[in-house]
Amino acid sequence: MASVVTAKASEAVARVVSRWNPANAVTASRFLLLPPFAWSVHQGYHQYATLFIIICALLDKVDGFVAKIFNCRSAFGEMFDAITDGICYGFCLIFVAAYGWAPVVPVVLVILLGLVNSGLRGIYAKRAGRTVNYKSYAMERIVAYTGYLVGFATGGMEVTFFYWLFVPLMAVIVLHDAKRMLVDAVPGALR
Amino acid sequence: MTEPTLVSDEVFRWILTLMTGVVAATWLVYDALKLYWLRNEDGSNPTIHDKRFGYACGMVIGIIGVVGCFRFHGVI
Repeated sequence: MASVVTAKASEAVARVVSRWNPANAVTASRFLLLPPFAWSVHQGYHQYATLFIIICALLDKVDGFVAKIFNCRSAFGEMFDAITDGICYGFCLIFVAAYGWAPVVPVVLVILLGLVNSGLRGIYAKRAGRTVNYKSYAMERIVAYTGYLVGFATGGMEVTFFYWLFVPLMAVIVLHDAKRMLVDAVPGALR
Repeated sequence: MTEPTLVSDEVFRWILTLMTGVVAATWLVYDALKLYWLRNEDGSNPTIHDKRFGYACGMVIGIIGVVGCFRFHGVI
């Protein structure tokens, strides 16, 4: 029994997941929604823009399920997912702000905080000595809120209210995570 | 030229409201429950601390979402 468990454990450690897997394909497919989203905003088609951002957000959930079904979860996949979130939502936020559908100041602050967070994650990965995505329960929630922010702008739903409340919340979360990533010990860091 | 639409403006408003309100309310209750279930866990454990902070933030986001929906319909 013990040898079976040991064999399974070593198999799991030895198993290398290809970067060309279905979950990463779903994640990458989100980029395909950016041109139609940009086109919709440019044309002033609110409902179409909302539809495209909803599909983009749903694909963010689907890639996790696909990774589980095909057993292709990897550190690279998690990192790729986080980077895709940043690029897709960042692009959409800039676009809606540029077309006057969202207030510019909170969008600039959100983008800046997002960049700071990305830099902190890079430092964390360096401290860990390997590709690792810092798991933050709070950041997972604020990223979902970011997807909604784009939807609020395209749908014209309480835009000022949602955007201005987002900024202090994200600032608190980035500060909290900064302490965890820069100061606290990194679990399983390579020495 | 009028904007091409998928649904009427009223239906679109309600779709946005439901997509935000239902998710926000569910999120609020779910994270509140998860926070409650962690009440006896050791707070000095970094993972537990992160979870508590994350669930508290989730509750705040849920409240913002629900209040935003009420504002959208002029209730508040």
